[in-house]
Amino acid sequence: MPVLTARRRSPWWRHSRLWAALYALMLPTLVGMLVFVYWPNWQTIRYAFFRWDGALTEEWRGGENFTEAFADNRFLWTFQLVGILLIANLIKMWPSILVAVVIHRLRSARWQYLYRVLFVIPMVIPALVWLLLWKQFFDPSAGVLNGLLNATGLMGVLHGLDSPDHGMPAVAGFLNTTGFGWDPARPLASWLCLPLKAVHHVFGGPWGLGLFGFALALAAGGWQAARRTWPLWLALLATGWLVWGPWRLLPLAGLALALGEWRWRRLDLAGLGALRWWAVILAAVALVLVLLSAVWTEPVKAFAYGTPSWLGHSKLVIPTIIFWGFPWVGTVGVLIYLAGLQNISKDIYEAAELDGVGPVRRLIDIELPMIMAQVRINLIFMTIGTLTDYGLVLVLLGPDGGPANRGLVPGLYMYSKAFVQNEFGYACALGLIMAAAVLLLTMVYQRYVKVDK
Amino acid sequence: MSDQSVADAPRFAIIPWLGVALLVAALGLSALRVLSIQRERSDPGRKVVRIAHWQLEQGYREALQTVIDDYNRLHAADGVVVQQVPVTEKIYSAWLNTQLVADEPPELAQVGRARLTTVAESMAKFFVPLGDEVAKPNPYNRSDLLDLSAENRADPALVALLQGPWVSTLIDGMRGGYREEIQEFYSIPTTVTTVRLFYNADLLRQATGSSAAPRSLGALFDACAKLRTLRDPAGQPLTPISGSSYTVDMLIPRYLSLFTASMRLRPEIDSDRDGRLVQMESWAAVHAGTVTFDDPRMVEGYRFARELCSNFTEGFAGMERDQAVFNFIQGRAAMLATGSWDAGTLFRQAEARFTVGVCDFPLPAPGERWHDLVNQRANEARTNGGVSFGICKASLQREWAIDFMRYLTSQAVNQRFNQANDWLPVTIGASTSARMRPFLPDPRGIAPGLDLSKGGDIESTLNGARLTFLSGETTYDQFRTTATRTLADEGHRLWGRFYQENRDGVRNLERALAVQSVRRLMLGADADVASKRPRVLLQQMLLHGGELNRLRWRVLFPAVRADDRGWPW
Amino acid sequence: MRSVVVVAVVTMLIALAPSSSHAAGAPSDGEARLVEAARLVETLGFKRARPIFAEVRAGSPAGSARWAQATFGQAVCAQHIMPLETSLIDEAARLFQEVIDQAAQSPCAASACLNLGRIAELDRRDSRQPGAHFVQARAHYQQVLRQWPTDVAASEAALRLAAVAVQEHCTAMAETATGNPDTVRAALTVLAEWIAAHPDDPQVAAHWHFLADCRLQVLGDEAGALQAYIAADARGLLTRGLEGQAWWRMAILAESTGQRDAAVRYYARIITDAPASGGAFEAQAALRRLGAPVPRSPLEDSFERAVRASEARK
Repeated sequence: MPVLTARRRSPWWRHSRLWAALYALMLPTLVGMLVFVYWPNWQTIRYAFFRWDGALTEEWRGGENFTEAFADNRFLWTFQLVGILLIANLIKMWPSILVAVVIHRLRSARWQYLYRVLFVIPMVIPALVWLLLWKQFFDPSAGVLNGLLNATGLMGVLHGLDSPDHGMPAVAGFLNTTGFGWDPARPLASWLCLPLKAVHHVFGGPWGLGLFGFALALAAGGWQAARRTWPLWLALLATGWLVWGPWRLLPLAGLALALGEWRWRRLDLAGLGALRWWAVILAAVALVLVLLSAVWTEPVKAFAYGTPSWLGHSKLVIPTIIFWGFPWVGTVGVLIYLAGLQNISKDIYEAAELDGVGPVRRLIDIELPMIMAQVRINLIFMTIGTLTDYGLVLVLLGPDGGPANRGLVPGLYMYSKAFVQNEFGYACALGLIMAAAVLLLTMVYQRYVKVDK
Repeated sequence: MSDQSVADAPRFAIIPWLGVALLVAALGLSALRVLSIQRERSDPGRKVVRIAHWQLEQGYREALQTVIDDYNRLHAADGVVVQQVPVTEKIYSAWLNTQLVADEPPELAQVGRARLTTVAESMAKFFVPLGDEVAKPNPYNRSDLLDLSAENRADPALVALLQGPWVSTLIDGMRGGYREEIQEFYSIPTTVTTVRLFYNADLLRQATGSSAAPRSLGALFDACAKLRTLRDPAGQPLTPISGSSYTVDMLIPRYLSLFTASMRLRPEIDSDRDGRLVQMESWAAVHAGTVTFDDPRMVEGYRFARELCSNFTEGFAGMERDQAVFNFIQGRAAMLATGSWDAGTLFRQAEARFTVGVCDFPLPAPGERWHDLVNQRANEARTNGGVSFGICKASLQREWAIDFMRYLTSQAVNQRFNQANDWLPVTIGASTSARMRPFLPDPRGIAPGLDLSKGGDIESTLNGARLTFLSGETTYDQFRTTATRTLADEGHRLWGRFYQENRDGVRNLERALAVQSVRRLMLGADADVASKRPRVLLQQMLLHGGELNRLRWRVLFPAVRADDRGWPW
Repeated sequence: MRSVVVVAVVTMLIALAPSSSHAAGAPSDGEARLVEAARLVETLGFKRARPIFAEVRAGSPAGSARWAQATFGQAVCAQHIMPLETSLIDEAARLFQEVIDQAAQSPCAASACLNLGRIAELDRRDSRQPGAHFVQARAHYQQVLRQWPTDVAASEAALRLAAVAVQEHCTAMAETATGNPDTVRAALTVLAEWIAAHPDDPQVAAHWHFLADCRLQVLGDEAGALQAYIAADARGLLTRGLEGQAWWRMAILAESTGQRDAAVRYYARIITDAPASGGAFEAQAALRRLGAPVPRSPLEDSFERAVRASEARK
């Protein structure tokens, strides 16, 4: 009887039907992406090299749009606000993390579920509606914010803090002018200024103090770790030249490195955490001093009648943008962190409980490291959003960025260039520069924000 | 499996399919709608004319629908159906641009917001030129169809004008639809708009003892001071004028241009001696130092503006038009400056609460402060028609679209339409309602002065600095310093832009001339080309290739080198 | 699945085939294709029209009327396709030159030469030789005047010659702060002579208007400018809707040069014939100042009538 054997087929043919089917299924999505995502992006790159008015005029400019952008003081100045917003948004990430941790620690699964649902519900409201609502909140006479501040007495506190004689402007003036000299009329203040004098002489001021904290954080891993993070050290040295000055650069950088190596060789019994804590403390003190001496330097004079114009006063615009979204508990962020927290094995918690680990240590040593992947993702999205978003400012302040153009962010400048001044080509170039900045920061996060697996 | 779970199983099994069912239903409904629209459009017995606009103000859509219904009834036998397509203002631009590029535009589209309707060359590409059509009479202005007042009916010249060329039947000679750059009509305006001061007559009477509008600037400031003594419904001091950044844009340039109006008569400022100061002349005067922020007229103009703004809502710089209108309607502010387009909304929403009065912006009376600098109002003779509609080239019902526009701008229909939505008619001989009388454009008065608009980044910086000055944050010295420094640092960039715009204008007109050449040489010479060519040619000639602006740049900024950033070559 | 893919590919090829054959076109449809391309140009479809013109050009005998039209059309399209590319400008210049060389008797030849001048002015600027492109442009315009003196393009060439001189002067002043107003005067004199020799040219109002504008803004010659504006006005001011401003300018110049009667005439015309120009009110004030009768503005009349009509609706 003849033995029927199957004809031998090569592996490629064996799977061809499946592959063809898969590719065919992917094709609509791929085509859609090519047409609606990649093609417009390619056009953006192309038009960045042209002078294009959005209609019929197209003229090749080569790299001139880019050279003009790098010489455009207005564009470069917008990054100043972005820097402030980045720092503020770094702080604003924390309420979401804390809320996620709190929800995660609820014992009742039913309440956990209820809170998750409560967080999802606001997602159906379009972002534009939120913005318009907040615009109403900021209304000087009828807004909820001013009403709340007046009702709770906080408006009076703000008014007091705004006093040129004993409020924040006085502190800033003190720090900037008299903080480093003895004023017999104010002996207590003069005693307090002595540490500030030391900071000024040793570190060159609050910025120098903050930079030293950063150097300590970098050096905490010792000489070997420093070699691996050499780009950051290069940046530190370059910044140190400007902030510390040439005479302080080597001694301070060397001191930070020596302290790190000293700790690393276990010659100092304080742990790795102590050095990093010192770095954080120094940086925090420096930040507070910088903010105090640089931000509220003059009286705003807007709180006297209880109706400050949060969007109409040039000195209040930036705090208002930062305050927007209070209490800064983002729906998506909470859910993402919650998902990460729920992946933590119960065994770890039980072991921690046995070791007597308290709630704060549990947060710092267990929960935060375990959700670092989610934190990093959110950090990246936050950075992208801060650098590129302008919808918030456009709706709240208009295309000029509000009074004295204080709210002008790079994205808004790009929008204004394109849709108000019809310089679409230049706006494309600005967009590409912003995209490059985002990419650079993302690479830094990927490399230096470690995910502890 | 428990009994409970068995009982629950069918119910839970249905739930996942609910989503699929919803999706299928939504897709099916969309497909049905698309098919029905396509069937409607391809039905030879049915001629659909869609008219798209972004005017969502209360009353406009209803009034337009009434006109549409009348027209549909009139032409029911022809199978014509006009349909209104209102689109939100914020997305209108993107929507229309997409429709035009995709060759599926509505038959009639409101022009002015979408980019492809603001650039002249795009208009030429996507819209039908109407020069021939507007030269013909409007058949809907037949004498038996007119609805004239007795005085107008007795004027044979007016009746003859209405029965003459369509272009002459509109108040502005259809200037609102004319594109100077390409010397052609591309849209038909349907209304005119003006800006006035609305006031709460009840509050005014309460404060000053009279509900009559303030007759002079001094009376206005006096009324403002008295209004401050009253309380709003929330118990707060009443705001005299409901302010916002929009109000500032409405009010302040209007007054400032009166302060600078006499500058038009100076030959070193009005370089082409045509009695108008366009942007380039204004910026040239400022950059050359012919006009400075130390000029007494500028100083007094801004002082006046600051004093006027001190009567605005607290924090007006951060507020928008909607908030200003809201405050006025709520009785928190006694006055509001806005346009006739808001009149219908204000009248309707406020009529249950208080009496709304309307007046023109008062000027200083003899003996009052600033009278020696400002004693004439700005004329509104050049008020162009607005809310214009263009006929899209790709539309299938071009003739009917044009016919509908004739209908809408005929004397009787335009009168009815604009009265219904409390707007101003654009057709001559059409009268408005009594309460809209204060809005009628008054041709008496002087022409405006400096026009510092279209200044790019400089204008943006000046606007920001102006807001902080007007809100009392900064002094005039600080504002002047900012302005002067910005002009010195950035001025040459602006002239680079003017030069570039001139050259772009030259190229765009070159295209128009090329089209005329091809038409003449290949499609046979026609009267239209013969009459239009010299006009387009002259338009191009007068741009001087941009070289005149280059010369001005060199004269104004001798210290700036040609290869500095911001200069186009 | 394989068969489905094969069927889909074949279907696509079949669907493409008619469009490509349509694009190829039948040679005997040359006239129709020419008209089709010209219609595309009317809607600024230069990119789509160019290959059609090329197709007609390829299918027509060199030097023939249709060939000249197609070549001219292709050149115009190449000249105006955006974005501007040197290769396309070169192609346009080459094609225009071919029309001049091979079909000089064709109606397109003069316009082709004119367009060469336009290309030189707009697209041949060389920063290393600032004025060279003006020299090239001038040569082409002079060729038009010399070789086709009765063509429509000659009228425009005369105007362009004057414009080149003005631009040269402005460019020179911008570069070196010393221009050459005598060159401008000479060019404007040539223009004036051309106008005198062709008083009935249909475009001559534009010539007068440009002459006036240059005399006023470039040379500061108020009297000469006024004379030219008056001549332009006599032939119908070309700027639709801007007559009021033109008459205001003429009235101001007339006052400035001591021609009271002319000033009165033009102020009055603003009021009666251009009341919507925005200058009527001040023209009335000017007439009062000059002691002349002040006509009533029809716009004021219609405004007052409108006020009465609306009040009657109370």
